[in-house]
Amino acid sequence: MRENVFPEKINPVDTHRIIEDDDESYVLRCRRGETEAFAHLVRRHQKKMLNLAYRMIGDYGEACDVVQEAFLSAFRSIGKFRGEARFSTWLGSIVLNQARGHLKQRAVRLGREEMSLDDPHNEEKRRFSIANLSVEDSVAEGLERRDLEAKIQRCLSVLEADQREVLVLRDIQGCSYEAIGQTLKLPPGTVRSRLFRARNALKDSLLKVIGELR
Amino acid sequence: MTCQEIQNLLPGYWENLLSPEERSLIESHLSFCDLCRRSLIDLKDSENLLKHLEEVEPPPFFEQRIMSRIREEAGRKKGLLRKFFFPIYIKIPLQVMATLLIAVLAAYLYQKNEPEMKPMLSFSVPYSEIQKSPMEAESLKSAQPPAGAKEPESLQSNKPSITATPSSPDPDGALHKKDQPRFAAAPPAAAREKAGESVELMRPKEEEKAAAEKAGTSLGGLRDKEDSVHRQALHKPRVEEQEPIQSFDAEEKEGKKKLEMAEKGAGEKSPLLRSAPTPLGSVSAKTENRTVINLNLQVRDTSQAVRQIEERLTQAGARILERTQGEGRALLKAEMAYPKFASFLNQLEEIGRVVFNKETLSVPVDRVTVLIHIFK
Repeated sequence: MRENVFPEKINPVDTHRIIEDDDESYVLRCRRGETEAFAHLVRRHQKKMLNLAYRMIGDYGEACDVVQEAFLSAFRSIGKFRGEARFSTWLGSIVLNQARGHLKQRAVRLGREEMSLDDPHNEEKRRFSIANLSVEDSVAEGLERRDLEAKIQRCLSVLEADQREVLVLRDIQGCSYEAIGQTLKLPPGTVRSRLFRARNALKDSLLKVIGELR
Repeated sequence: MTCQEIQNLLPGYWENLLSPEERSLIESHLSFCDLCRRSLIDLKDSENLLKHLEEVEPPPFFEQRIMSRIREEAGRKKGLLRKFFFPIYIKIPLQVMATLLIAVLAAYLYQKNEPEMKPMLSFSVPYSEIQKSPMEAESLKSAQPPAGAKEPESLQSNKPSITATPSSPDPDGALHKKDQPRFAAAPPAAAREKAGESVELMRPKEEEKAAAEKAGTSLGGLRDKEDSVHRQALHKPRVEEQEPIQSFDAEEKEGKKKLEMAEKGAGEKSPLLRSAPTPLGSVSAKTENRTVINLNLQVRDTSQAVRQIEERLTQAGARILERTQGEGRALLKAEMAYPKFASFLNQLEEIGRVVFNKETLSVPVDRVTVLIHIFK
């Protein structure tokens, strides 16, 4: 179903090397000033980065804007990329940074009257929101898969941003713990504990929204 | 362990990331706790739901949209880079080349302008030579030795009289010597050094030429004589720079005395009689706002020419500063406004043949002092 380009999910030896080499050569060409080499990197990673942004933001149009900005930012700072991590990991971290910035801006734009779903200190409001969500969405219960996905996305959106990040990276993007650590610049223990909390939180949220998960 | 603690660890259990102790603890708890078992199942289901979320597709022309912005950015970045941050391997050679080009150009311009600078420098130091050099050149021309064998001697004998006039036993020399210390500080040191250098450079050449001429006496003839005179006249300004510096007044006195001596007898070997107008006959010295212009005027009748010139000078609003007349020659010195000089020059050409260095008029000034050497 989903094309997975992360090393531990595909052939651990050959494919990993090929992908890495490919990216490296294009990155090198970009650093030499070949703008067209970047087109290959865009072509290769646009879908994955768009999905990452979309799952983080929850809005398709905004996710497209964020990815576009992220690619632009990556192009500007490609000289700083030294190859310590894979290019996709580095690019993923840029997309996540852009997404965080976008969410902050959106929160500011909506203002105080509009509740911020990402606010970790506003537990009461969040609960209220989830309850409303379930009432709203209960009307669409039993409908098509698209509705279910919309609900899952809404559930994801009510999670704290840092929990959402690890969940998206791990379960949707299929990243390894090491890659998540590199992307978020976190030690493995923190990644693990954050992921456990995020899973439980999502499970609770989904149970409230969907009811039966099967 | 409470159910809450167990449920917190369930994701790790599910991903097989716990220690064997933790695993056995959880397994033993799950064997009797339905709630935690249910929680584990929900955890698996939620993960499955997430993993099977359908991927969204990028919008059409998403890559092109991104790349158009990237190209735009790259163009701007390149422009800035080109302007300020050239690759160092291009930038440094370019800078070196530019520096060299400027240096070469500066040297070339300096060399090109040097001939114009030299007369200015040398003239500003020995002012007396303005008057003396044309006359001396003429005297050399007029007092041509009869045979080629005598020519070197005459040249040799001329040299000291030109370069070392004070050495003669006449009262001129005494005056000259007396005046010398008074005006010794007049010229700039650099100019004197330069003059000295040029003299040093010239001397061997002159000696060589004299020796060559001595050796080749049989080849003597009119052409040779003229050449030697010409050479002498050309070398003179540099050689004369050795002379001590005198004031303008002292030079004028000297000039007068020389003219007087010229009147006494044509055969005498005074510097004045031996002098002749140089081919280009004039040198200029620019002071603050005036220029001295030397003119050589060849006429049929000197006394008549002097009268005519004086009339023209008066018409031009000039102030006649000095008038000395000798046999077949005269010297007029006048000062006039610079704009009137051109018309005056035209009038002079009606009187006789005018020779002067037109380069002296290249820099406009307020007033000009004209020294007119009139001769037959």
